[in-house]
Amino acid sequence: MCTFCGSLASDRYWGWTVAEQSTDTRKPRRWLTKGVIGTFAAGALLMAVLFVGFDFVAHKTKSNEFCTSCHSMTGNFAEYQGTVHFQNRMGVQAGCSDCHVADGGLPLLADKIRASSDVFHHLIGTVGTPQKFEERREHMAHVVWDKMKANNSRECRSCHSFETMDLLSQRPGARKYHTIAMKDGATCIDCHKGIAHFLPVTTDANAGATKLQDAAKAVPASATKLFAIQTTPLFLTADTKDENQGRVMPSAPVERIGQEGDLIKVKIAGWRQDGVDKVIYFAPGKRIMSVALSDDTAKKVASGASETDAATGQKWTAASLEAYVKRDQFVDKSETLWDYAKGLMTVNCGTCHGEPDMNHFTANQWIGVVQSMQTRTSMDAEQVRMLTQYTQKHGSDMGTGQKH
Amino acid sequence: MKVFDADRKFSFTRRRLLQQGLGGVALTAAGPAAALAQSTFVNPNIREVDGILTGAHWGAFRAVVKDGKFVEAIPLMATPADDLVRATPELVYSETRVKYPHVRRAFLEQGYKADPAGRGRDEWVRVPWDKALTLVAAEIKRVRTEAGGKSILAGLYGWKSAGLFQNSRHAVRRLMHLGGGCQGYFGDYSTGAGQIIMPHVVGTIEVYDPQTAWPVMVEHSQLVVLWGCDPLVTLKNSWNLPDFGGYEGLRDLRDKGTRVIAIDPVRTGTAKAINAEWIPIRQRTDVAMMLGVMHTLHAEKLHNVDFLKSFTVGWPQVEEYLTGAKDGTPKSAEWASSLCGVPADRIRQLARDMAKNRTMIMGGWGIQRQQHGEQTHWMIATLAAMLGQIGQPGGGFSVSYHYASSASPKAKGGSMTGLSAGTSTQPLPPAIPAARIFDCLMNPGKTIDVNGRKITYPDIRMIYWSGGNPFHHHQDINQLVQSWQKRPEVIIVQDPYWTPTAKMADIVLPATTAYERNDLEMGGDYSGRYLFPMHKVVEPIGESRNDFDICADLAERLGYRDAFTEKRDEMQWLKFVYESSMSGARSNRVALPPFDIFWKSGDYVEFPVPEKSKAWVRFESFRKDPLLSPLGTPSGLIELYSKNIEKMGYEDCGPQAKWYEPLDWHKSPSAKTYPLELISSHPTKRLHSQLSNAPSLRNQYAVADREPILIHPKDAAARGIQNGNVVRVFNERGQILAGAVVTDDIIEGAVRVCEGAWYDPLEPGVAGTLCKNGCVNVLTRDIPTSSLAMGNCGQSGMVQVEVYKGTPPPLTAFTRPKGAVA
Repeated sequence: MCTFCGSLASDRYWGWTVAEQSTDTRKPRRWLTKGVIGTFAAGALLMAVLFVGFDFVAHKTKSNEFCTSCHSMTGNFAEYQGTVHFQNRMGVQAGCSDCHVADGGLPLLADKIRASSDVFHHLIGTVGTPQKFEERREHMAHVVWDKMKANNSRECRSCHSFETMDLLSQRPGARKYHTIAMKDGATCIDCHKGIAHFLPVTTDANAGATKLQDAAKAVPASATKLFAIQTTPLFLTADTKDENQGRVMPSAPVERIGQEGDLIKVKIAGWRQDGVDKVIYFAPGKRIMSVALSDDTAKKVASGASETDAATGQKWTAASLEAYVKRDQFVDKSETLWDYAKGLMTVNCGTCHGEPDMNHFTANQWIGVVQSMQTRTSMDAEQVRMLTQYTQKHGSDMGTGQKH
Repeated sequence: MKVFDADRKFSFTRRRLLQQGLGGVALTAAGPAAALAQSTFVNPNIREVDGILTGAHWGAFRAVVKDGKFVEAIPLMATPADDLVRATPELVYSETRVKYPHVRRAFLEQGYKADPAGRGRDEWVRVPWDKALTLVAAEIKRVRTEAGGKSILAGLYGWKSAGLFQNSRHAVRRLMHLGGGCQGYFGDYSTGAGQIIMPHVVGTIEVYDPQTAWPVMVEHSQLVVLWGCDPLVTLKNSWNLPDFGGYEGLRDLRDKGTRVIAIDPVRTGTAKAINAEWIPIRQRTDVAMMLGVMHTLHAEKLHNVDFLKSFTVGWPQVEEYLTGAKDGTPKSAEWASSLCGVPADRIRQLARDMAKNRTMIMGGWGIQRQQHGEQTHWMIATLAAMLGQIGQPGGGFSVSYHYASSASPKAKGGSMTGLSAGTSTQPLPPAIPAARIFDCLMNPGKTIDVNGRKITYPDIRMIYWSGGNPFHHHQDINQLVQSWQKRPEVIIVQDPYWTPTAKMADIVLPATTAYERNDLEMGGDYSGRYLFPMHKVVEPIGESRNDFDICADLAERLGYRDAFTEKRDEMQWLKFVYESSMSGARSNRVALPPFDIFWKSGDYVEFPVPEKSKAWVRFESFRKDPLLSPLGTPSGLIELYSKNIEKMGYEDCGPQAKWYEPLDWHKSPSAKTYPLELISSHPTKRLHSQLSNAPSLRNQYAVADREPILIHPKDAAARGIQNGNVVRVFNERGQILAGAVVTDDIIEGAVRVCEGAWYDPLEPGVAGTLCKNGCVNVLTRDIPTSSLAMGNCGQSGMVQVEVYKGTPPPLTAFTRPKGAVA
């Protein structure tokens, strides 16, 4: 029985028996049959060629040699050479493609198609010089990070899996965060950025500083509660040129009580620690610096009530000082500053790790945290001061929570 | 994932590197096909060099080996230090090499009870390594058990050989620390006073701190005053391998035609080379002349009142001292002139020139290696504070431009750390001042003042010295001979050469030179610009062994080999040292190749120097913001008056910089008997006493085979001395032979004998005997600078000079002692 049509007349199917009955229909039928067979065979051959060819090409184009055959990859490869993924005690290497190209199947094909745009960019020289590479690094890094995030760090996980991870062999810090990551369903690339290639240099943080200056210019004269947009000198008299009488720190609050030309007269209130006359702090027991003073200026500070810090037993005394400051260095909303500071944090901190929860540390602890971490960023001294103020004023013991 | 085969895939051999062209990047022109075939990759930070790359304190070089012999050292960079580099092979094959372990005969026979007075006299006996090591280990154990670690003086001061891993001083200290500690020292013979006083004044040691970058100096400085320094000579050497950035700076300064004034008793090589105006000054009167300048600034209202107010404390006290309001003596130019010999008008003119121009005062170290040496560096800072240019581009003061290219712009990369001295398993006794060693040996239990503390000398029973040569660098060598013949029960010296120090020991262990072992070193003490490999050039000479291996074997005999080696062999240590730079380089965004690729390449790494570094100005952040970038002083400002020093209450170092009369100068009573002031400068063709035993260099400077002595024509004529004469130089402490160089490059009334000549006693082991070679420290005083720093006074001594009568005795400094096996 014919399995196709259910007919018992198998002779109809087997053409050569039928062919004897009718020569008219025999010719086209034979052509059709040959065509089918030929097409099938050719297709098979083509498939074989394509398959072997793709496999060959895919294999060859997955080698480190191929990947670094464009000089634009030279620096990138040198960066990777210094890491454990290039060389290690075990003699196991994760080459370029092990991390950047899928192992097989459709994802591999997709990667290869995507990679063909690299050829185009190579030809037009998009990253043809180290400078161009550096300028485009941030874009390229985000493309890779986004892809890894989207596929749950598939290539990483072809070697590293949570299931076979011996947590007790890890340092306590690594163990702690891996445990959190497992619970939260985080993926490798969330934290492990910049492990093979250098992290991008973040340059756009300064744009915010210009915005602050514009905001300062727009502050109405009626505003009395002001906040410094950056470190700025204070003057004991309106006519002095001595810029070393004192420094108002970024975000420090002052109260406007008068005006003289480009200067405004302000009252600065805060706290001084017993024995540390030259600094006025934001709050008792919290080393959030509002103003740094010269010896002479320190003598002009008026003292108020004292209190004893319960934790340390140190005596803190309320302090206030009247001085002149430059008008265009202050804004009337702390939120304006915190928007800027948050940008600094996103760009400088969030590149390597998740943005920190500001409740994790107290105001005083944040000094040390920022100091130790800032060496790994490209922040300048002024940016570090602003970020320090931001984190300190939102520290766990400041009662401000995470509202900004 | 694939199994990685470093050699086959990514290493690059020398041959391959050469094919790629100089320092270039591989694969630039080649297409993918060619790349697949070639599969080489060159890290862009690696710089290519031909020959066996290694180096010394006087420069990196390429070693040429013929028939197994190190025949030529070709400098990597062409600089004035080339002469030293070229002489390097002579060190390896020097007759002075210690080829086998040796023990002084009496010590071999009687052990530590042997008469110490035989040191320097007894004959030597060659022993097998095993016997030597067993003997040394037993002595360490014995002394430690009987008297504790504080009685072992180990791994003391000296310039050792370059190399971060084979650090002979650290190897010995590590051996001692892991066994329970030993007696250590603090400070050094170069900057004993400066490094203690300057933290009180500006909050940092200054003497070893980076200085305003040369490009800034060249661009902004209008007047450079070299006060007692000779950078052309001293920049030949660095603690690591030099980058010679200082020479580029001097050259650019000269080419620009910047006005330079050299204040010095000697018209130095630097003064001649950069066309400086020479102001000859009497030795040890620098502070007086500075006061004359300061008095003029004040009298003519040329001082910067605003700067003094905002950036210093103590100006009122300085003003009071200058005017003489309290002591009745105005420190006028006339007053200064009567002490320092510089005409008063010249002093006043200098003050006006300094105030009118952007002025950098470059102080040297010789001016603080003298009695009250603290005052000179403090007074330079005080003078510069009056000028008010500190922290401005090209202005202010420095006491470090002449050293190790300290103003070479900082590169962006990583720096390597070497073999550590290890953490002592037991608390260490308080360190003693480096230069008080004789005092310590002779007076166990004595308590001394130093920098506000009191230190009690330990009872030293064992000395183990490596990488140093106190019988050249310590003052009053006859006293040192006496101390080594008195107290220590056992003295061990580990060195490649029969130095005068080795000749004074009980046991001598032969160490390899740096050219017989593998190592790594940074290039540029301050720039950190290079990572240099130090590849072994030839096999060890005789039975000499690497410092690390000697100490590891001793640690084994003492039961802690693994703690000492951390279970790493030579190449693993080198990898460890190299990798210590990797995280720093990475955070600076500089890619380094893995160690094996770097090492096999035979080449070195050069880090980029960012523009920011070339524009770096010392004290700039303080100048811009003294409130938020305070100095490390109690006030956060420059302390012209120090309350901390006031509290110490020392008579020989008060709370502000002042003029103190020294024991040795042209107005002292001893000048009647010994009328010539002795100057002991850094030598031109040596690194202190290193390279003394390189004949090709010695032939260039020795006069009648003795250390040269500079003497003014008038002083020479008065004594019947002619150029080339062998002369006897003597005072109440000792006598040396020297070869006369009669020249008006030195001020009348002073003579100069450079430090570093190997002590060569006519009668070995006898204090007071004639030094045939001319070691200047036979004549200097072993006194402290003051109770504050307890630094050495290498610049001390008054002498008389006479033509040597009779036939000068033949030199023996560079021959092996009696019994030593060649």
